[in-house]
Amino acid sequence: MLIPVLFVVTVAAQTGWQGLAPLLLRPKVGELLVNTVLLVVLGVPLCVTVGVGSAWLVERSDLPGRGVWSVLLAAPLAVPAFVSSYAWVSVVPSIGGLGGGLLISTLAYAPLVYLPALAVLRGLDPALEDTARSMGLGPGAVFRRVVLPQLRLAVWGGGLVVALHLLAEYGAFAMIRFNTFTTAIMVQFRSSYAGPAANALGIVLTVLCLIVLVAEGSTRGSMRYARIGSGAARQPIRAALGPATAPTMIVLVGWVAAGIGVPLAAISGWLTIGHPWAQREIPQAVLTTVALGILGAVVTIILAAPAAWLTVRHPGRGARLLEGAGYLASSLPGIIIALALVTVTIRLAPPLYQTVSTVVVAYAIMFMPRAMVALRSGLAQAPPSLEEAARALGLSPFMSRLRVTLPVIAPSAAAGAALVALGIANELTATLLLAPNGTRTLATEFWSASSSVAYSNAAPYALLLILASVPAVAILLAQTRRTSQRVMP
Amino acid sequence: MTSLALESVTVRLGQVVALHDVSLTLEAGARLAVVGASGSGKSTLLRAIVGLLRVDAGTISIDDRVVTGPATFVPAHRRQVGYVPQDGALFPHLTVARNIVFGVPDRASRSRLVREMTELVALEPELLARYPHELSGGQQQRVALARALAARPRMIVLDEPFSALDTSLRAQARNAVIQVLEDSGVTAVLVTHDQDEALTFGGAVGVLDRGQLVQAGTPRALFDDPNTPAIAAFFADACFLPAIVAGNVATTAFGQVRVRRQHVTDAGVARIMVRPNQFAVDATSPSPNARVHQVTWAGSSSHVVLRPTNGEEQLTIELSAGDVSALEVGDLVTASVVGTAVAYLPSPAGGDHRAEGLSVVDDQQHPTRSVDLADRSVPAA
Repeated sequence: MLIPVLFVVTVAAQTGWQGLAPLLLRPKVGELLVNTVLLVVLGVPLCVTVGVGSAWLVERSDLPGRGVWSVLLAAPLAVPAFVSSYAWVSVVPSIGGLGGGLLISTLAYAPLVYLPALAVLRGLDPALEDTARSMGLGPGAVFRRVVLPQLRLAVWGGGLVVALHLLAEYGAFAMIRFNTFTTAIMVQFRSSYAGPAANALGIVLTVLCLIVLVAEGSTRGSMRYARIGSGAARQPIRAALGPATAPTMIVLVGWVAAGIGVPLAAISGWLTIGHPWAQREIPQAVLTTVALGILGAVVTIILAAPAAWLTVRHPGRGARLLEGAGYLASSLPGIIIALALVTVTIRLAPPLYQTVSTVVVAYAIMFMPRAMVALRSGLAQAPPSLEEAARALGLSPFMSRLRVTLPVIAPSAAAGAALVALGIANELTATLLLAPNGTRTLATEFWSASSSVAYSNAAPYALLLILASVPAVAILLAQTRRTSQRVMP
Repeated sequence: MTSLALESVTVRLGQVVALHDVSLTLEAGARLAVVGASGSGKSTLLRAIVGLLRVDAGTISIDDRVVTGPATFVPAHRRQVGYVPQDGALFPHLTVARNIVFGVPDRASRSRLVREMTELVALEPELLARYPHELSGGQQQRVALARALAARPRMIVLDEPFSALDTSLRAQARNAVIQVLEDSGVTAVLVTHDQDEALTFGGAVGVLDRGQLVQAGTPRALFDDPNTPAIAAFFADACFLPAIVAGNVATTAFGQVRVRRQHVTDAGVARIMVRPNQFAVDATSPSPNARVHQVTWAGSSSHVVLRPTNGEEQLTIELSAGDVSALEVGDLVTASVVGTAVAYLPSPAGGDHRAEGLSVVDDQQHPTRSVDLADRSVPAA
């Protein structure tokens, strides 16, 4: 798990400042730094504003058709950012720069704030708002002083995920020719493999990630919000939008159209040109994607199981360290994880370079948190008392786990495996760098076609990637509903 | 025949001594309720009996066979001790019927056992196909009990099985469980923090305090002759009066009271325990000994706060509606104790133990001790 972190530390130590300075103190690096920092500094607040605002409209206003909106506003998650970028380039060929990057990333990543905010708002005890109103606070003051503070955890967590995605994203920004550290590392890698320039940029990118992680961790503090009262929660009083209803609906329609309408329309348009479905590579790409997805998911779940078990059943410093190492490694951009594995395999285990096992290890590192969260949730449903009851009924400890714990956590493990598999299906950077030559997945075939401006040929892959992501979004929405029924967050 | 025997059992959980030198015996078919405050070691005791944890010292025997000892440890799955955890711990992925026969290895007898157990715990047959989350709390507890009994255990232990139920449902579920245990004739140990539950479980009651079994006996014995003021106050409201004890007579601000049991070694300064409903009040007496400070109506009876005229601490007594009808706040009255009392050493702080839990007993004044019940084994019900 810590290979990528150790890789960055080792490279930095071996190269030293004398070696890094000429590579980093260049105008090009300054431009990348400005672009990347601006992307995060502007992109995160935009995603938070859109995410929290849309969650509030769905949960706390009398917006007509809230049930439909709650799904539609999460739907852009089913469109990989690089597919969204491809669609926008198709519709607006001149799109690019920071503005284009912000538009595409906000469309793609705002749901990452929207979903946790929605879960918190659903689980929030309306009695808190009622009490504030009884103290003379108006609706605006209630939102600002009561609701918003309780959303902080969701906003912080969602903002962190958005920031890490912005730092890691390659395809979406490369497509619109907006240079960030990740796109530049990829260019350097393509020209010199794991050369010093790519590694030096990787160090800066890792430092940016760590800054984001530390900033989130230190500002979050020990916040913990929960519905304290017992008994059934009541329905909240919804704010009346009044004359703002129609303009709000127009804005939402426009937003959803930009997020999922444009990609679907662009893909549909390209699918009508030529015979894109006739490409011979499509079945192979589907099969490879499915095979890599299943293999990666199984390996990730198996690797995550002991850590999840320790954190739930034997929480302590060791378990926390193990869990933290996993989260730290997975928060690094895919490109860094890939660079680390390239370097390690070339130097220490050449036969493993560009093999399925290496790319699966990369997937496991990248998607470990998805498996951990699912397994932990499953283990929470299987308290030790179930195993104890089974043992008192004559089953050995091993059989108790096999017949009781395993079946109870199986649905959560399956959901986690599905999320990992779907993440793998959309993964681009690590697959491009680590997969054996000739490996064709939906993402790599889409990238190959779209980067050579064969947009029509890319369309079937784009559609299949969206279809493959729909179950993941459904699982996330279901999890949001379940979470909001329990203690928040 | 002895069903369960614990001899000087001590369990340490890290730095904490969860059980200290606990000894007891239980005859086959008997029922024992172990009561104590949170952290007193109740669940540790059960888990040691079930075989879910090892002890640091002492032995545990079931049906005269040592299952835990210095060189012996029979694991839980070979002990045949039925276990009903606090939350029932029904397996959520199995239907009620499959839960009931989970511990029955003989497939051929499963359907018969499901019928028998369903009847025994009075479970509606239509519930058999349901999953645990589709049952009420009371139904879940009955299924947990049926599951434990279906495995034909040598004894059964219940860990606060009613604590998660609503008050209204608790008594109903408790009575149903007691009935099932009586019908099945299986030896049973229940742990609870609820005094009423302990007193009504039948058989015997043991009181755990900070890992020590401080008293055990019949519910009546614990209620009438509690070893310490804390136990007295734990089971019911109690009034503690400063007294001078001579022989079996205590002289108090409310007159002389016969002492039925003494926990003092020498005659002299002491305090006696009486229940609040042991008082009589005369508002017409020419030599009053207390003033009425407060009267609170509580249905068929009333709570009256009296302030003794000699300056002693006020106390709350319980009078019937008829006795209290003529009383007004500020009245001077003569209060007297009806019946007998239990005498203890005086409290250093002068307070009583009505609001105190068992774990706050002052060690120096009321030393807790391990009660070896080997000579007071709990007979079958």
